[in-house]
Amino acid sequence: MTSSGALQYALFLGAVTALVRPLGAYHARVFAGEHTWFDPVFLPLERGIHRIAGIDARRQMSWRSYAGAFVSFGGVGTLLLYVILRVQVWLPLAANVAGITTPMTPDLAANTAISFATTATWQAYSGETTMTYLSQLVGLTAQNFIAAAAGLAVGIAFIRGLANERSNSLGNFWVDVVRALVWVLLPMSIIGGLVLIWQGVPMTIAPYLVVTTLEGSAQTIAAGPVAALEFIKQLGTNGGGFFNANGAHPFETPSPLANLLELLAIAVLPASLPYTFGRMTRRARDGWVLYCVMVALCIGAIVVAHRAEQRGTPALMHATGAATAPNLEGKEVRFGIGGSVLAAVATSIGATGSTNAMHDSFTPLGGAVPFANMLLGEIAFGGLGTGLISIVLVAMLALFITGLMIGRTPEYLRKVIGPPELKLMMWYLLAAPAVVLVLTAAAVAVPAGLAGLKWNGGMHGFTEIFFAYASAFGNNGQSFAGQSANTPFCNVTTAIAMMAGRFGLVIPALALAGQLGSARTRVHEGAVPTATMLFGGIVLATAIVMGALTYLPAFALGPVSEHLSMRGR
Amino acid sequence: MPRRDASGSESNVGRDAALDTQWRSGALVALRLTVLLVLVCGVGYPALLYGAARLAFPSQAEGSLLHDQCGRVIGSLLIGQLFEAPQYFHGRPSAVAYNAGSSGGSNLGSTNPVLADSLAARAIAFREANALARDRSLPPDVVTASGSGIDPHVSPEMANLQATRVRRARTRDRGVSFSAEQLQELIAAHTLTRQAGILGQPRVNVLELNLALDSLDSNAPIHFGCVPAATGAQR
Repeated sequence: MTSSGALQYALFLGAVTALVRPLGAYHARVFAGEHTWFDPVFLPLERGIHRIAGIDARRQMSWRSYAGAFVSFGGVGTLLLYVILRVQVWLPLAANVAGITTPMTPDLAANTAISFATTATWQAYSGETTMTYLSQLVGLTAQNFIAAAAGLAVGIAFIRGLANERSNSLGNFWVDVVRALVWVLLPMSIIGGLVLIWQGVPMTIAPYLVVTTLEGSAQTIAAGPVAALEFIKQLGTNGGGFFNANGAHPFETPSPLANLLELLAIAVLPASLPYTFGRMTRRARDGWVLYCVMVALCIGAIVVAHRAEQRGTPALMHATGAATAPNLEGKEVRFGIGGSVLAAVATSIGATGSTNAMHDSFTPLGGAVPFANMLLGEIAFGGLGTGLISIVLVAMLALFITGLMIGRTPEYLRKVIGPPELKLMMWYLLAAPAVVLVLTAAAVAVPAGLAGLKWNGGMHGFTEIFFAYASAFGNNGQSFAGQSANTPFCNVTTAIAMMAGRFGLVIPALALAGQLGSARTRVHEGAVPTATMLFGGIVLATAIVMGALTYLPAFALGPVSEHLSMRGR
Repeated sequence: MPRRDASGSESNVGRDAALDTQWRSGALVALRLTVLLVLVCGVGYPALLYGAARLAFPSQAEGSLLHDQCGRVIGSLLIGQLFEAPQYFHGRPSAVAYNAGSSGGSNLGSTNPVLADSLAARAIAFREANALARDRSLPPDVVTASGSGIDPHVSPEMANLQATRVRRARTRDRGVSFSAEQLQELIAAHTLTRQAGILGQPRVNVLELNLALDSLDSNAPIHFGCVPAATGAQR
């Protein structure tokens, strides 16, 4: 590993780890309604929002009510975004309308609306040739905030359920959403957005410029209110870019420093939630064990991807005549291998999907890393709120398996994991392969599904399709972008996967939280201790073995075969 | 066990009359809250950033545009331009021909034979254009297309490999000679190091380098005598 790459990775992981405790404790205070420094400013704002929206903060919600609020909130957001996108050319703030060439068809608008309301932000379109400035701001930026806040709220409600003893209340969804926005997402985005502007991210509403270059040819330069979208797209683990090239575009990520800041924005909130979890359940060590599992997965992903990209491909070595030819196809010089690999890992484990390099052009093994991270369920650090749910579910599964081995009823956080809990866990764990593998199989079986493979075929083409559904279900949204995704078939099927991946997972997770919260805790001699590194290792192994058992056959057809065929020649 | 206020999650089975158990009780709130939050996050937040950017970083907010002395915009410091003439340093290959209105990479898979062919063709073309030996090893940015298609930078190695060609082209056409050392120094002066010594890669901004080249070349008939001046954006 090159020293500059290693230093960047260490800096990133060190910064994330340093922020776990302060941010995790902050979340715990904010969502318990305890005092914070910012209350003099934020409390009046919160009260105003409650009054206008008609929120009764004293009402508590059962899991059914909480899930119902989550679904109706997502539904209203989707519909509103759909309407905005469909009528965008008649609305104001469309100074860039001359540069817009992609028609906003009903299937594209519906796919995009679902995509942003579920934090997938899968993009079947190119930002600069499809979206007016108003759509980018009032449509997409707003949804970035709202969907992220809903995700964080659900994560907190899930923790509450685990922390509860004989209580049916998971809190109040509306209060949690407003707190997530006012105390966490909005203030951080104001600061982060300004730093990005300083580094060179534009914030303008002028039309696209046409300039005469030094050599005398005309060049169209698309810009716009990029900074408003850029920071929250990372912080909210959304990922949908302003431009087609996403974070590779110099106006989205102008400098290595901006790159690091954006990657930290992806990771810090999800990474701090295990601490919040440990604090709210009063089992701090359990939280740290889960965090260590996350970091271990993250380091493994970085090492594999870095080695693969640094080594390059035979074709590249042949062309350059160099002994080592790092794979820079689809990567930017200012990031190099280190900054690109770090982004690929952060965005895939973070369920974000923003990219600063074209993952489609990664080496087979390098591209397999973000892919595998998604297939493992995005547990490290995971989507905002949803990532924590995923890793806790994996921990419970690990307990169930170890419980079988030693012949004891599994317990987590002094709660018995009985048949009702197991059913909900199984629903959660089996939904992913059921949707991803079935849709992938359907897509490769019909001509409409294969029609998107314009540039790459064979094993790599299969990977593109498989990747697309894994990304959509994981609410990640990154793509192997060689696939032309704006077809009615692809728009409809990925929309199904995104909805299943959002609502199909959140509802059983909330049900599980409600179930565990209403149960009585008990202290049982001989339960498997969960606050140990040994248990962390078991969780890690469970995640990997489960992922391998589920996906390895399909995975072997894609990146594994491609890697072997490349190295075997 | 700490007391919590009403928005907390304290145990309340059987005593909290305000427990909502209906899944559909929130539809109206959902509508009102969504509209309100869209206004806060989609109008208020961008307006705040817009205003702050105007005050604090007006140049970056506009897109780090470069003007010549007549005030005409000749490009953006952050956006690469297509250079093909021999008297200019060239940028990396681009899948979109440096069209900054439609960014993107090639998205060719790394085992795609189409990619292998274009890598090889670009290597041959670069060696020929710069009169390099056929087995001269090249840095990878010479042959690979960037992710954005408008990467403004090249590696210092890629710039240095072009120096001889640029010097010769300028000597022949304009009657003005840069010495080899002058060009080396110019490239070195325009090489950005890693940020904070750690982040990113050493790199040269091609547009900026070419502008500097023209400004030092007294015969360069560019933009009717307007010498471009860079605005103070952070790179």
